[in-house]
Amino acid sequence: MRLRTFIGFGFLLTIPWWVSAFWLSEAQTWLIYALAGLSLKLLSQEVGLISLGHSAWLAIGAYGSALTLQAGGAWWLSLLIGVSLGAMSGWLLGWTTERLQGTSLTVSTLVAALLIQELLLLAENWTGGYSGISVDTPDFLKGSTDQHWSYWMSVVALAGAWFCWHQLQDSTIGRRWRASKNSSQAMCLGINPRRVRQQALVWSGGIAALSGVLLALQLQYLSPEAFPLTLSLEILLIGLLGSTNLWGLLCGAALIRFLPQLLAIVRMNLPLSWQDIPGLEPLIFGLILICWLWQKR
Amino acid sequence: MILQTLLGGLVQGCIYSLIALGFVLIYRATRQINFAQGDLLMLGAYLGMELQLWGVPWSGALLLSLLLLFLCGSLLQLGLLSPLPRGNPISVILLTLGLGFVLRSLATMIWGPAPLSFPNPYAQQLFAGQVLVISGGQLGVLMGSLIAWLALWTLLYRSRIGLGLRALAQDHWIAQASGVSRKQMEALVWGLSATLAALGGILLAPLSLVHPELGWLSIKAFAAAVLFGFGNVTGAVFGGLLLGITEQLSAAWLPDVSRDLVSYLILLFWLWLRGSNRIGSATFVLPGKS
Repeated sequence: MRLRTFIGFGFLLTIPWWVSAFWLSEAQTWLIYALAGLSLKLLSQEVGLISLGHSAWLAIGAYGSALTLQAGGAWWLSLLIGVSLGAMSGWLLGWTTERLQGTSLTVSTLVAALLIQELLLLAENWTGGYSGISVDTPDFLKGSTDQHWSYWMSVVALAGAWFCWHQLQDSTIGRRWRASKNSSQAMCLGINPRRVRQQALVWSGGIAALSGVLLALQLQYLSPEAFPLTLSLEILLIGLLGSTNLWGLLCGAALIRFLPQLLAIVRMNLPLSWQDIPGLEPLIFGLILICWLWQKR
Repeated sequence: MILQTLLGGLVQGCIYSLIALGFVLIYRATRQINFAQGDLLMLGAYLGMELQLWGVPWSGALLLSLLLLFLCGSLLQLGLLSPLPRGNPISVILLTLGLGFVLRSLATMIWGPAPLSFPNPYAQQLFAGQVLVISGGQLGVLMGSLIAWLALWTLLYRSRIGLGLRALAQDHWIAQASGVSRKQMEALVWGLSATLAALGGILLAPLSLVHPELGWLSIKAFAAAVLFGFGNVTGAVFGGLLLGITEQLSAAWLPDVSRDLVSYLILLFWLWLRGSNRIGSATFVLPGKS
């Protein structure tokens, strides 16, 4: 990690002392989005795989940790269970889609995400179905400065994931990932591209689930509607928009995260007859997606 | 009872197969996957409804909205998609997903988020037999799909345009060298699959309600298209029918499990089973003369 990154994380740590409670919780969500974007970026940059199913991993982490907390588990146990469930589902997806490539792999991540959503609704006894479940706040977050601690947890998680990724990039695993983009060359070097891709899916799933765990603590209430397909697309955009450094990732997350708020402000200043038109946000979102693809061309 | 369930599945399957045909047509000619297919279906249903509310008779509304969607599809291809780089299929997937968002929110803006009922053109006719009751809407779906399949088959295998399309699907260099215009053909194919989607929407609308989220159906239709190998026209038809019937049967036997779950499981299982890069590579099994 470079000095600039250290300074950046140090700066993020100081935020609770100089912003209001509202902006602090916004900043926390922002960091969680950045973390989810990082998990996707790991996949797209290292093994060249575009995932449309990251919201499902977030959901797995969130529900896993929330259920552990509900069963009386400690907070660190819930974190561990959430992350390992995400990593396991990454492994499972890698195993299921072992022989697929490119577009079909992307499509299968989409289908897997939809499947997870259906399963969440089906397991009504545990997940509460449509009505959802509430997330117990762990004891150490219940104090007067609780928001500070949960914010700092997100900063530490982002820094940890960032650090892990950079360590991985310079290790054998990272080099294998990059080599596996060209599968025939990789196979000549004795690398099994499928195994390697599965590893990347495990890491990405774990990190995405970590962000899901944090999101559960932030939202304090979970329902399948909290993880729509739009969330997957948002994460995808963060991962693709952000350049390789931390700054780019945070900017991408800020753009995606604060755009709805910005639109809400714009909407308030629109003429009265325009204010309650439904569906303005997805329209802008779709237009941004299209424009971005166009300018990239 | 079982016959009635099978009929319901067949009707649902017809709708799936119409959308699946759209997927396959576009994929064969352009190697692109259009994820806005379901939203074009939704748009077709809304247009059909709106035209009828304006006083256009049923058959006129049907033909007019098919024509409008044809134009819409070809313009989308010409204006939005053809300038994109060809090498990257992911960008087309993202673009069509974004387009889906735009279409859905436009529909929400114009017609509101609440489900609307489609004016029933069949005047509640029921064809009741000894063991089977067919409603007018169901009969409409069956007849309409049959006509669409036959028309498409004639176009693909009995006309010069179809010859050009099949040539383009096999080898676009040689096809272009023999005087097939790739640009025109691609616009035509996008128009055609938008028309098929619109037909599906208008046929489905009297049986269900019209709402902006109607297009999610297309994910399941995609499952149907993949079932017998992507890029196979007859496969898409039978895949759709099979998926529809499986769904209805599973809904009858396992009422607690959602029908969507079954189709997603089928799709994932099938992707896992057949593996070997069915969507990525060109596997065209053409019936008849090719």
